[in-house]
Amino acid sequence: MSEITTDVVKHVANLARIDIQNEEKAQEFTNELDKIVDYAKQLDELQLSETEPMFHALDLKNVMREDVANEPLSQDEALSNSKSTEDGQFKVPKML
Amino acid sequence: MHFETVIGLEVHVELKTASKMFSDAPAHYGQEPNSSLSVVDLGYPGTLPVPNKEAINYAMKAAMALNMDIADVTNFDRKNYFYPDNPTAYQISQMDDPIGQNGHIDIEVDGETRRIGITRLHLEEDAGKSTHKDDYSLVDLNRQGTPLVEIVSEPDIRTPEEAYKYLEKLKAIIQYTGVSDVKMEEGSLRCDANISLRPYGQEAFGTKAELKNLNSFNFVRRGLEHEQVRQEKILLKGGEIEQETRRYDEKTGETILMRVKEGSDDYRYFPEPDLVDIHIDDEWKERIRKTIPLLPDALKKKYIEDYKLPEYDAEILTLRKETSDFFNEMVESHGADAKLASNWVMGNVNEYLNKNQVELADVELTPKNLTDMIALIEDGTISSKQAKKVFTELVKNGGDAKKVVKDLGMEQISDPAVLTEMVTEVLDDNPQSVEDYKNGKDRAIGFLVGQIMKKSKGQANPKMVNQILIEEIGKRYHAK
Repeated sequence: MSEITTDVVKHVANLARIDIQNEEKAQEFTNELDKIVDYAKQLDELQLSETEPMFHALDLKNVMREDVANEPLSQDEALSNSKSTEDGQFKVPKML
Repeated sequence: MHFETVIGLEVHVELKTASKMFSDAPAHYGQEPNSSLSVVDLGYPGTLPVPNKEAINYAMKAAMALNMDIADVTNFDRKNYFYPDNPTAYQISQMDDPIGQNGHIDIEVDGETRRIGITRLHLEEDAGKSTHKDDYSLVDLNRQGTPLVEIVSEPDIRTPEEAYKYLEKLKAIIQYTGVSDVKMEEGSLRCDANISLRPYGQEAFGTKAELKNLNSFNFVRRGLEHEQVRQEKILLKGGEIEQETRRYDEKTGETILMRVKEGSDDYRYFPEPDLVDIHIDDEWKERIRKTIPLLPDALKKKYIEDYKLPEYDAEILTLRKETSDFFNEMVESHGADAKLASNWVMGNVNEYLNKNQVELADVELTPKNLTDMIALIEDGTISSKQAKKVFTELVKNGGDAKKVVKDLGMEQISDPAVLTEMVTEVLDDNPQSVEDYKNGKDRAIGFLVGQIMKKSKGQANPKMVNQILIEEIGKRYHAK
């Protein structure tokens, strides 16, 4: 069994701003995540201490661009998908 | 103080690239909000970040100037958090493999050199800016994606004064490398401070408070001074320091609680899947190392050893790159005497700049015309008093020093023929004084010189007047 508990699921859900505070739902996700983590645990059976972790599927390095600025979006374009704007800015719920 | 103060500083510096860290939108925006963005900055689905090579060069250059080890392989991580000034809900930063680690800078405090360690320097992207209204907030994302380096010091700083010196030195070094404007008032340099107290001799650190909203180096010093006293009072009363974030209030000079930190922040860092490793080979490192100019410490040494300047002069001249560039040009390109040049740059020039809140680049004074002006004082063309007027004119309107002196009608009369004529006239008009002088009354000379100066409207070269006067009197004496 893995270390996934309903508390862990609720904590992670809260960090990700996903509503899983309901006990039944939390249990459901706990079971699913538990299975996934257990599945991945098969890797523990392999001797991997000498193997470099792989973070990317592609064997690429040094992908960069030259420092050239191009025409940015217009203010209207930048704001075009916003539900609410004011004075050329995004209007959002109170933060402080 | 009953306790030892332990301070660590986190400094964010905006890099002066043309485009953003991960997108091709311009990194230097105008006044219009949300007018300097690409779909990458806005976090649109399907967009991908591509690192700006120049930003990596700049970060490497800064790290080298701070005596750091440069990574052979560096990469990026995601720092996850939700805030409206960050459209992707994560910041691309560096966690395990920053560009630079293990550096230091030396500071001078009370005549002693202290070495302050620098833990790391990493690259990341800046967030947008928010303005808070009564019941909502507004967000301008122009700054989103601007390349930043975060420079984290070791907890080696022991006093607010050392913190101030560290910042001053760090700023000077970065400014010399040219990778940032490092202007706190414009936000291209920002500083947070961690401070805790511990009994002398104790190794473990006390609980720290983090200070934010420190908008000048002076406020950093004052905020730390206040915080030091606040924590001491609590500890002396047997109380405990809470781990909290505090804000410095510029009006009261006090630190104010913003929030108590419960547990460590959970940013769920993980390797950025949209970016691949950056391998920095020796050839690349060397190429960058070659672009680093003489840094403040080396320049200071040069001024003291080669130019024989006092340490104080050397220190002041190297605090800002524009000052030492100006001074260097005077001495190296125009042959100014180092001490005279230093006196003018540290004295009248700095005084004028401070008084008018301007920078060297904003005034018309040039290394050439200031050097020329000093030469005119030295060869007796103008007096030091007249030089002040010439200086003001050069600072405000510029131009050639000689021409300004001429236009202001200050040019000294140094033509022997003209001076001899004046001397002759004055001697003819004042036979009594000539008699007095012959009879041993030396004061008579002063009177005669005064008459000549008056006749020349103050423009006669006093040294030459004296010489010619004595010669002429001598001639008359022997003639009789």
